[in-house]
Amino acid sequence: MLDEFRRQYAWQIREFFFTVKLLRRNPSAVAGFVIITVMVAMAIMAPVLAPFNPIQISLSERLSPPGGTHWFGTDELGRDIFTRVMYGARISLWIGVLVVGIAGGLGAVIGAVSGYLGHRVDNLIMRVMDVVLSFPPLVLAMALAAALGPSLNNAILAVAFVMIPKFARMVRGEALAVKEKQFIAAARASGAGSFWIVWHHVLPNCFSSVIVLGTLILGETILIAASLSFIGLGTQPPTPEWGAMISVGRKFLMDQWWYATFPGLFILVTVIGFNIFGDALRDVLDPRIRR
Amino acid sequence: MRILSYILKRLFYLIPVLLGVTLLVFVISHAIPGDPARMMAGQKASREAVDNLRRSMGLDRPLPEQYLKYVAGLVQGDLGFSIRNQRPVMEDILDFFPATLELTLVSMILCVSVGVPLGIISAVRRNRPIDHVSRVFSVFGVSMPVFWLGLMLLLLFYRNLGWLPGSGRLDIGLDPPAHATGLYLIDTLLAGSADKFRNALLHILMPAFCLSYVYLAIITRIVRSSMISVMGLDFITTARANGIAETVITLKHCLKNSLIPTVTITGLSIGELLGGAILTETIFNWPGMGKYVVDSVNFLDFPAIMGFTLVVSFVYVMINLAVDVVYAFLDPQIRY
Repeated sequence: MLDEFRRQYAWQIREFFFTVKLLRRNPSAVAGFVIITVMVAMAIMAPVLAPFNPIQISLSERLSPPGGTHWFGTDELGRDIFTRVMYGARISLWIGVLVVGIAGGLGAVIGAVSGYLGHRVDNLIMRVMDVVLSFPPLVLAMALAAALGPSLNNAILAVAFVMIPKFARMVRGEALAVKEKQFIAAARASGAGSFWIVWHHVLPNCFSSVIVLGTLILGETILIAASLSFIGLGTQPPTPEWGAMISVGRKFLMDQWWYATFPGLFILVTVIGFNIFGDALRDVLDPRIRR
Repeated sequence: MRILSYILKRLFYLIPVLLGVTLLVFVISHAIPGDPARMMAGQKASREAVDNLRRSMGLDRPLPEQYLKYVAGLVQGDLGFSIRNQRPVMEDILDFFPATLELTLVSMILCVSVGVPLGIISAVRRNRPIDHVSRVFSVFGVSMPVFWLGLMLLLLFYRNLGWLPGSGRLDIGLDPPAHATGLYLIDTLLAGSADKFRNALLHILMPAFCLSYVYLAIITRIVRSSMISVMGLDFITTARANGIAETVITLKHCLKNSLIPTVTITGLSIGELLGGAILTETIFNWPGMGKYVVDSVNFLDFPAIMGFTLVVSFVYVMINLAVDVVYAFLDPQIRY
């Protein structure tokens, strides 16, 4: 069974290990990977590793500065900021993965159908995508999230909607190229329907580009989602989310600098991780500059 | 002549896009789970009053009819009435627009005047320390939560060093200059008051830097990479073989040929700056459209939010059109 799998996917497996080898030689890929791994580990292990309860109120310790017990200090309700930042990683990463999953999945299908079918369908779909791209991303996400009502799930839907055209456009471009390949003609000649071809041939061929774009977009997604929380349209208190923490911490900026500083630092580092890893991944997978 | 017909063609294509934009905003504003009539009338209003209001607002009509009415209103500059202060949203936006325009323009100037030279230097000194510094600077730029950067700037320059003022467009107590353009930097000069100009300039520095940083980073990278790709071309080697000075080659031959991607990204940035203004203006208490819309979000003032969204996307679309037209002038190879 395993041998059969190896034989059937020999080329893909070789390709995967070659990519990993190239990535390991690329310092920014390694740095990005380490950052992402640490953040993911922190998110998963938060309940075990965090020294305190993220929503436990302790008014006697309110707004105490960073020190031995509270590494990052405490907030206005005496909650440990280090603990809340750790839990915040869960939410931010969850948002990122979910948004990229939804937008990448829908965008890829829309793009593949559009590129493969061509003509009127393609024209119509691409004009609709143009309309969505006619808004600055944060502005459209804000309007949508406001209309749907402030909540975490609505913010995720809003950001995902804004990101769909990015995937759709890219996959459409790939689909246009794949469509001309001989194996598509062969599939068509043996009687395969359009949607079967899109599902079994076009989409799998666009998979690696979707992954690269997804990694690159994850950082931007986390930023937009945090911005929505900052203006009050994302996660609602008491859930520990980085953007929302900064939004409250802003009121205490002049006297309790630590409150807004640490959550923001974690947003910055996480997004840097995804951006440099995504850039390296793109370089490594791009046959033109592959080294 | 060819360019003129190209512009006309592009303007024609603009119509469906703008209709699409209005349709999307219309759909979003009708997806509001709450009842706009109830929201306008207030929670205590009687059922009859709400029904009357609904009828007078036309909310009982079929959706396509409402949409047509909405578009007809838009054409006349009617964005509806703000729930918060009962004023026409268009008037509010016009009041707040100059502050945002000023902030955006100063940010744009910062982006181009710092980003382009930095990109050129990085390209010329490729893989040297200065290039690495500029790369790190750029990675931080594209990964930076703008609102957090604003807070950190405030901590450093306002709270700790006390060099720059922390909010607003002028010190409290200073009267705004006589309204000519609405841009304080220009109005103060027109009024001939150097003190106020200095004050306005100090106030705009931090927000403008905060807003521009992301695009500064992007512009630097684009200029660098397009300069490097032009530098490898044959005509540069020829120019060098002909003994043309290196500075002339860099600034004339290379820069001119790497302008196209730079113009694209600069144009796109202006639109994005309008989006970024939402966060920056909130942090620095800058009385522009961005702060206006965040305040509206807190009041769930939908006509105001949707009006802002529509105006910003309209400007965004127009700028993209302008960028495409500039292309046509810059690159004689582009045939349409």
